[in-house]
Amino acid sequence: MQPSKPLTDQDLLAMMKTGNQQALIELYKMCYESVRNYILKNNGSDDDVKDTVQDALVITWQKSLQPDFELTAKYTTYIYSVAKNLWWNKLRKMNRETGLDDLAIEPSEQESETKKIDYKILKNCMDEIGDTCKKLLGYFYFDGYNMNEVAKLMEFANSDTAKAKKYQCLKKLEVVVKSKIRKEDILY
Amino acid sequence: MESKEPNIEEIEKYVTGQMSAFDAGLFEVRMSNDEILREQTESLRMAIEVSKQYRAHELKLYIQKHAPKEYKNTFWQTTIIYAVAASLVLLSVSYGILLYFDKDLKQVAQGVKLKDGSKHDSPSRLNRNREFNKNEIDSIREIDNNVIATEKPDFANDSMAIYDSKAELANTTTVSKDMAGKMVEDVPASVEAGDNFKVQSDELVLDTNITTYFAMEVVNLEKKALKKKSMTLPQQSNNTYKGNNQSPSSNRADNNNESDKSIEYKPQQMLNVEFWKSPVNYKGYRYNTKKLIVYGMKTSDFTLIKVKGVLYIKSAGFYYKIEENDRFNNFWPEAISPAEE
Repeated sequence: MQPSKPLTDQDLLAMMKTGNQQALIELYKMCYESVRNYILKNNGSDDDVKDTVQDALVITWQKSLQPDFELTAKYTTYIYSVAKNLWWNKLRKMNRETGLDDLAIEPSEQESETKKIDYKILKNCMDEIGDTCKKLLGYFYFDGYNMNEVAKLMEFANSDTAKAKKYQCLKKLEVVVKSKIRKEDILY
Repeated sequence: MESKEPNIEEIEKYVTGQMSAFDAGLFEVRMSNDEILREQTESLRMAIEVSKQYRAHELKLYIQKHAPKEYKNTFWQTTIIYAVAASLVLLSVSYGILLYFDKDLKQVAQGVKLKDGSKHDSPSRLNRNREFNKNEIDSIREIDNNVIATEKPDFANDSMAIYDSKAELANTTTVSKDMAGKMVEDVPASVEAGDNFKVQSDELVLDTNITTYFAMEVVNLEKKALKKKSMTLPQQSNNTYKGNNQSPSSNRADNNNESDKSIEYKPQQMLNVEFWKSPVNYKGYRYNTKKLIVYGMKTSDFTLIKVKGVLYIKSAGFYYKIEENDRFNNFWPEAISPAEE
C-alpha cells in the first residue's frame, strides 16, 4: 500500500466546511502522537489520550465551522494546544499538579460549565425525533451551519424548508426532553 | 403577568446568545414576570443542549470508529517505515542471491577456473563451461590416448577441479594407463609444449568415480524376431561386454516381463562408451558415431539396444532414446519399450 499524499490544513478546513468528517480522522492521525507524548508524560494513560484527543477534535471541528474562524497556526499546533488545556483542566479537577505552560485558549475551550448528560439518555431522547431531526439540529446548533448550508447538507429544497423543519424538530425534541430529562440533569 | 405570546424564535435567540445585551435584558425582565415564558425558555434550552451534546457524542463515536486503534503514523513516519522495510527486503534478497551463487563461487574458489578467466558465474554458464572442457578432453584424448583422466572430482567440496594454465601444470601430475591396464600416476618433470590439459593426481577418487572406457554390445532388434517367441541370449565376451553381465533379455526376465522374453538380441557392433560422474550430478549424454559419453548412469545396470537403427539405453527399467548430435542431451525416458512398438 502506498502512503497517501498528506492533506494541507486548507484541505482539512475545506473538508470540514462541507461536513466531511473524514477530516477528523486525518487530524487524529496527525496529532495523536504529540498529544500522547504530552499526556503520558503528565500522569495520563492511553485511555486519557484517546478521550482528550477526541474531545480536542470535536472542539476543533466546532470552532472550524464558525463563520469567523481563522486558522492562524497549524492544525496540529491548534489541536495540541486544545488537548493540552483540556488535560490541564482535567488534572486540575483531579487536584493534580502539572507543569503546564500558559497558552492562550479561549474560556469555552478551557472549561465546560455544562454538565454532561449521559449518552444513553441523550440517545433515548434523540431516537424519538428521527434521524432527519437528529442531523438537522446537530448541524444547526452544534456545528453552526446556517440554514442555507443545512438545506444543502440535508438536501432540502431551500433554507425556508430547512428552517420550518428545524422548528418542527425543536418542538418535538422539547416535548421529549421535558418528559425524559429533569432540569437537574443539566447544569449551566 | 404575561406581556405577549412567547415566540420560539425569540426564545431561541436568547438561548443561543444571538440577542443583543439590551434585548436580552428586556427578555429577562419579561421572564421574571412570565412563568410560561420562563418554562418555555428552559425547556428550549434543554432541548438545544441535548441536541448539541448528542452531536458531540456522534462526532466522538465517529472518531472512535474510524480512527486507528493503536498508534497511527504520520505520512513521513509511514514513509520512513516503508523505506526501512523495503531496505530490509532488498538486503534479504541480496543476501539470498549471494548465498545462491555462493556454491559457484566456492567451486570457482576451490579449483574451477573458467575459460574466460571470470571468477563469478551462474550455474548454467558453469555447466556450459564444463561441457566445453569435456569437449577439450575428447580432443586431447584423441591425441594422447593414454591420458584417461582429465578431471579431479573433489567430492569433499562437491566440485570439479579443472586446470588449464601452464603455471599450474608444474604442480600437477597425470594419471595414465600402463600396458597392463593399471592406473599409474606420472609426475611430469617439465611441462611440454602443447601439453595444456592435465589433472592433479588423486588416485583414490579416480578409481572410484571416473570409469574407464566401456564397450557395450549393441544389438539389432528385428521386429520379426518378436514373432518367433524364442529367446537366444547373445554370446557374452569379456572383451566386448563389460558394463552389464546380463543380456537385455535377461534383464527383462528379472522384471517378469513376458513380452520381452520373446526378443532376440544379437551382437552388432562395438561402441565406445564413457561413463562420467558429474559433481553437480548432471545426467545426460553426448553421442556421435565414434563415442557415447554418458553422465549420471549406473554402469551396473546399463544396456544398449538398437531398434530400427535408433539407439536406446536401457537402465533401471527405463528406455532412453539416444540421438546422434554433437551436443550434450538430457535423458528422456520412453513411455514404452521400443521393442514393443
